[in-house]
Amino acid sequence: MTSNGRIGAAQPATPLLEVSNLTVSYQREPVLRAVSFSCPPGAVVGIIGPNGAGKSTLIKAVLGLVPRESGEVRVGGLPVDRARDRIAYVPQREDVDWDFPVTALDVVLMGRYRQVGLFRRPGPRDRALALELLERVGLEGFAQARIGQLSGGQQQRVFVARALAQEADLFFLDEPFVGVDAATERIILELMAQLRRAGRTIVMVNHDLGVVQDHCDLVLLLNGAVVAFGPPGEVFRPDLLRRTYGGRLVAFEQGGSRVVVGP
Amino acid sequence: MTAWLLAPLAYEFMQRALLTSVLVGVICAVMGSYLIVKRWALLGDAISHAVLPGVVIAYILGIPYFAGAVVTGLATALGIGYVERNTRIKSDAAMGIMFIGAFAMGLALISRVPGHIDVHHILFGNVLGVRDGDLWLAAATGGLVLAVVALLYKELLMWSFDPTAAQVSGLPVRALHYLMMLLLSVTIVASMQAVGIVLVVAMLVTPASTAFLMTRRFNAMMGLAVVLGVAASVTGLYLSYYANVASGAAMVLVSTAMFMLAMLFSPQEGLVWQALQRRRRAGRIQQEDALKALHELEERGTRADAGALAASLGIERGRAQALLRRLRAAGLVALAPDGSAALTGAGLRKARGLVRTHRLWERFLTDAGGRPWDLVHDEAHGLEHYTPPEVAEELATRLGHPRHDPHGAPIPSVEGILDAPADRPLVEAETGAEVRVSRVDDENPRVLRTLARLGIGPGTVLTPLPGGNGRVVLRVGGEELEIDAETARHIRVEVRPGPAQGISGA
Repeated sequence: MTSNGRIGAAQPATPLLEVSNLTVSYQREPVLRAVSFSCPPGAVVGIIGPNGAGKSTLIKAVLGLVPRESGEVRVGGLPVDRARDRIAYVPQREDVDWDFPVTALDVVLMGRYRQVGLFRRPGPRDRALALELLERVGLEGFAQARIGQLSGGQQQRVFVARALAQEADLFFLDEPFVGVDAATERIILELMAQLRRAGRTIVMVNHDLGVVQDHCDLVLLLNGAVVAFGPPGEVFRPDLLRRTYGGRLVAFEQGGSRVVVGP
Repeated sequence: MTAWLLAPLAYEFMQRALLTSVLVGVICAVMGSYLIVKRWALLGDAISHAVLPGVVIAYILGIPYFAGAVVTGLATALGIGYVERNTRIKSDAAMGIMFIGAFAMGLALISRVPGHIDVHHILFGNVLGVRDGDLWLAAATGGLVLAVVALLYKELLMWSFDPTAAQVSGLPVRALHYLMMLLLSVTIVASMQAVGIVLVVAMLVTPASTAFLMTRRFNAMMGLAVVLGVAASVTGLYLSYYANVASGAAMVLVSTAMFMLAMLFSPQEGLVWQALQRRRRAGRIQQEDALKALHELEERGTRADAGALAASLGIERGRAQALLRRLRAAGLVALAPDGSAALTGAGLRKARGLVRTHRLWERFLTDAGGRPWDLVHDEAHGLEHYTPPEVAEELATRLGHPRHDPHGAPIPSVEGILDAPADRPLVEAETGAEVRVSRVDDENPRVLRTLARLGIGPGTVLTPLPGGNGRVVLRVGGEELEIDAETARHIRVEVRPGPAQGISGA
């Protein structure tokens, strides 16, 4: 690493995602300041922080959805714009128009568009893969349902299936468990574990500290800037959490007991 | 009919008009489908008004009108985006400012141009007056629109459904955005001759909205929109020819009528079907409630007739009579000449099934749901009408096939057999003798709360003592309690104590 970002843990392998000195401003107000971190292949990375900490902005800036004022994002050693085929993104639920006339199968097939290529239509093999993925997220029999007719959890699973259809190496999930049922949360967590074992990396924004603690290999504490980055055991410390969340109360489990951090 | 349709086509102007109408129907429907899902309807309106100055400027410069029209239409669309991005003005106001400004500019220019521009024609169109050039423009636009949509269908679908994910996957979403804006402008200009710039937005929005209500996939929506759009514009053309109605207005009115029909009658979302379904559901629920009420009257040994039914359902006598006639027609109730009603075998089975479902839900809500016993009657009442028999049996299995509800009322068996206990009201029990509470009436929450507080419920062993003055005195577990007569009237007791049932409730 050439930057002066705080890297909490020694990275064992060549990083799959490398963010250095990323700064983002909205109307000259800095939202993210010199954010640096890197993720190895085969890891689940959680980004946590209070509202307005810039969690979603960080993901969007990494993906090039909002302009970067400075800094660099590399995926597998390449600038992110040249590695888009390795990236899949599951948007926040509120960013989707649920009245749109598409079926669950249509949405999953969108994950194949890049591989299918310009001017061509998805073929039988793409359809077969999409149907198989719908089955994997427990939605067999819902292929022809309009997306708006599904429950919140089912909709989220369709989007996860779409991300899987991209056969990406790097997955970004923005608040994947908001407004979903317990079964969906379990299915998505299980899929994340499978992806991780297959050497894929998942970066997710989450506000549930318990989920992050139990399921993430690395945690980024964010509050405009990086407060800490490392394994949950190292960053879930009262002083660091207090610096992340400022005056707010946060609770998490440590060694089987509940720790509440306050101002 | 065929002659009626073919006769006008003897004229060359009608042939041109027909072809133009078909083309306009197609391109407006295709672009309109994107307009609907992208929420660009207002933008379409803005662009269509903003082509006016372009037409006039082109006339002044002596260049083809569509060149000027597309330029000012697009420039205004870009201007709207610019205002939106660089000021605090929101998009609807930005559109209002820019397109009315452009439109006024067009009107101002027209008033100063020497010579004659037919404003009415530009604003409202006249498909009967299209020239060869207009037809070629519509044909070329149609070719362009269909080619782009055919080649980029999946990219455009992704762009319109989920632009963020499209951008992440590397699609040039800005380029697609401007491409669609260009196609929209060209479509509007090409439709100008047929429907005019004021009405064109209806041809864009209405057939596509109608199709939106009736389909669940975008390609089906677009296909249906094309069919409806062509049907509307061709029908409008004939109306215009035969009834001498302004062509643009006729086309728009036909597609508006189609939309109204779809809104009211579309198979899944038609408002008429929804209303009918609500009525049918309300009717079914009332019939089910009537069956239960008749069953209860029979259980109590009270004469069941329209008056008694009206009283227990809280409806008017006339409605109760109509309800009884409907139940008789369904073979669930028999009516005697004296007006008394009795459940038939089928009616009794149905009523017992409803009672069974109701009491199973009460059991479930108290035992598994932890709900207090004074609330579960109403809650179960809401649920029983929506519980298919197999779900009720699933409940029974999970609950271990209970025989009584939380208030002690027996649950009919799945075959419809009801074991009524040999019990009687507490107020009729003789004083001094030990009795066991068999059940309490479940319809008065206040009484149920009182009893729960006193610890009296099904299975409680108690001894009525001499009371008086409207008070009932009981000995329960060595203690003497006093309850009011109203509460006592809701308690039924067995003289010979049966097996304990346990008390449930709050």
